[in-house]
Amino acid sequence: MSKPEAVKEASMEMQKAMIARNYDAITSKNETGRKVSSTFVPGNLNELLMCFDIVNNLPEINAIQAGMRKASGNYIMEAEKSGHSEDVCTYVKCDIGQMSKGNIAPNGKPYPNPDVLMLSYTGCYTFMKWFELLREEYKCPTLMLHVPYEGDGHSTKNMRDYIVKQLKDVVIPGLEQVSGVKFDIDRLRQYLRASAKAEDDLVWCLEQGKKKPSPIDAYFGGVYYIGPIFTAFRGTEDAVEYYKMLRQEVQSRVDNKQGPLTPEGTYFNDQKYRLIVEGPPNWTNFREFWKMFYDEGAVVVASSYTKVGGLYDQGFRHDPENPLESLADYCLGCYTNLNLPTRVDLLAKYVEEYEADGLLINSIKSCNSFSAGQLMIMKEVERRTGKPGAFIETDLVDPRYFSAANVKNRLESYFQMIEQKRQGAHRAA
Amino acid sequence: MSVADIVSRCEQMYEDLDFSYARKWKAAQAGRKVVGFLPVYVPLEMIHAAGCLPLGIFGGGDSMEVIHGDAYYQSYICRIPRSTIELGVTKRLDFVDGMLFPFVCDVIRNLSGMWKIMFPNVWTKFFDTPQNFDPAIGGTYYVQELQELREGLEHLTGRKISDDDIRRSTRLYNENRNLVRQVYALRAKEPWKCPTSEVYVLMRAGLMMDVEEHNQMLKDYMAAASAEDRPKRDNVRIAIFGSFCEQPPLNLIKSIEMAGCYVVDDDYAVVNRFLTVDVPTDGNPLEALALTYCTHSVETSCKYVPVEEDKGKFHIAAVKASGAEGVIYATPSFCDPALLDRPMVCHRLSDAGIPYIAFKYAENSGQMQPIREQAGTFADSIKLWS
Ligand code: SF4
Ligand code: SF4
Repeated sequence: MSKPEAVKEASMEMQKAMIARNYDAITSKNETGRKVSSTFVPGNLNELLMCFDIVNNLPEINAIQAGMRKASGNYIMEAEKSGHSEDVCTYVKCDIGQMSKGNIAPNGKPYPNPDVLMLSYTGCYTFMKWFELLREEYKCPTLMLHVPYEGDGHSTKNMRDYIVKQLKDVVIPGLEQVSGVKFDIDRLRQYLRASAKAEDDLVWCLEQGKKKPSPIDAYFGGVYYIGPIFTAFRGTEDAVEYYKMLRQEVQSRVDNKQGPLTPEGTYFNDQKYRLIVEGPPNWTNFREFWKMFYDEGAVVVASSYTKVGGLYDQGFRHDPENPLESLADYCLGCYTNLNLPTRVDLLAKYVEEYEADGLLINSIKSCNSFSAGQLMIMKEVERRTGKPGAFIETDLVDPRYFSAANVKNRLESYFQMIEQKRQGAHRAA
Repeated sequence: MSVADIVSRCEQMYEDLDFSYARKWKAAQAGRKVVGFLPVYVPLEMIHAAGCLPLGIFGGGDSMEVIHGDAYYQSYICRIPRSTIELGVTKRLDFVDGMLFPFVCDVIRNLSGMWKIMFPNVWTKFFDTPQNFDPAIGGTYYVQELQELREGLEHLTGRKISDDDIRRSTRLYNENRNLVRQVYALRAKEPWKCPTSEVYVLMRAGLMMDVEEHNQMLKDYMAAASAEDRPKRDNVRIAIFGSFCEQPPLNLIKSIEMAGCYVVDDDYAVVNRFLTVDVPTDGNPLEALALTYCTHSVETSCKYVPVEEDKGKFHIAAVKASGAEGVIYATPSFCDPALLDRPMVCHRLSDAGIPYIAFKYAENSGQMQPIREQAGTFADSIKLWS
């Protein structure tokens, strides 16, 4: 039996159309003459790429798309057959396996070869080797922007200067050469202004998770909310429009005391558990995974995954007055570029501020950047907040690592634990 | 001193997970500090210039039972962070005053933050090295990072580190690197005289002891090994790559040799070979370190290779220089850097007509039979086809 189509809100439809247009722009590059870059989500320089009329293709997003279309499993196996280890990130293998299977974009047309690999190297080691692997295949120019890790819990002037210097001396001249377009800093300022506007609206939406009932799901719904701003649309008027529309939708749910809309088309109002979630979601069984939460009455009120492309809720905004410096600060401040104690601080703060019942960690086999140290994060957040934590394990796009029964069991025991904790607190009062 | 004496002393140090040498070194003089470092690379001369003992922490090997460490990591994370945590929570590192976690991968990176939470009284620093190797860009950044390292060490010890202090230490480490290279060259020339099982512990012990003492030891070893009459076997000559971080157990290193392979080059615990030339000792010592890093350091998986054509060149040159006939790409399980790099490096080896095999290990791997068989078959095939 085929699954019923997910019910979508207007903002989701708008986003779908934006993504489709971007895929069309990518796959029609040979007709339009536009240049295409491949780049990563965290620390992406979308506004800068726009200054050179370069279309932005994001292999991580393509892997997600393949995961949701249930195509990723084959791609991964294909990559493993050709010598890639079963141990490494499945986004990489999905991308590489897809290449060997004709490299077809979601619009059914083949992906053209990128003209440039924009390696903004923020918060994840794998990025560096992933693009070395792609460079081996495409033999195209690769621009490396090394973003230092905030090991001591903060950025320094040296880190910022280093990034700005790389932007000025490596990235911008490189993009000029690839595109043949001269860099115009005022154009960048204009895009950054649009980014900041959209970022304001995104933050407003994310913060509505503090309300009861929460009008958003900040994890499963959240991945849609962050879509445009984390990918090829930050800095565009489309994104400004999208976030305006999203804000109106959330506002209307707030006014009506409604929860978020589930894919089944019902408003999820009966919210029993409020969770903070750490780690990326699983994509191969995304809807099934989501359903396990709302079926049990669990809503996610804040998540760290919605911060991988920037911690806007902690005050960062792209700043047209200091364009390059602000791009540097943006890259430095992405979630996986923060050290572990800072991540603990942030998650504990979310538990308190969003009045959550606890922290749930979805640990991703693929992703050392997120996962190494998560057990300690859980213990620390539990200790600091006095709220119980829970740990589940899945993968991003490798269906072999999604065990529905296992995940469901763990979630159910977690909810029981929360109940017990509540009753204990009740008795003590 | 005989080879046997030197090797047995090194083995003892290598096996000693209570780090008695470092404890004694610290106790010998009031105010002495020990600074631990993890793989792959930190500038040891900076620690030395601060008057501290740099102590290489390479996990727990195969003799330590990991009880607590496993509670910190999922099954799909390599072993070195969990055994390092085990060393910490079992108080085997309770005398260590500072810990440096260099950039290798996201696991060690995140471990630096865990250490901050678990051991708040230890000065813990994530030590970053640039991935941009232009001296004017990455070099400038690195000089400032070294300056911050210097200030951190000054804070730890309560004494200033002068430029001359760093120059003096750099000289000693230049000598060390030179001697290490000589040992490697001797092994490449006459591998039957310097088996890798010996060279390996000699280097590992060196990363736990005073550099001057190690320099003397390297000289003594070369003199003693050259003088010994050891039979030459009909072994093939191979290079090992991929083993720069979590270390294989000594038994595995021995098994490869016993399977008929002379290891003539390797990247085991590569820190003392990371810089491939002398660091200049005139001028600004931090600039000298930065420049050498940018222009003369090994290609290893924790570094970006900026130019496509250069990928794997280092490995091929190392194979040629050491006269290796094949490569064993031996990586820790779940090691992203080594495993993501493996297909690329192996493609280049293939293109250059260099045979290779690949396998994975863990620092506590116990089953040597499959490794012996694989390495033995590889050796036979090289003999047959070369
Ligand atoms: S390791 Fe994690 S952050 Fe890095 S590419 Fe894979 S999923 Fe993304
Ligand atoms: S063994 Fe590999 S994955 Fe593990 S810490 Fe070392 S470099 Fe990282």
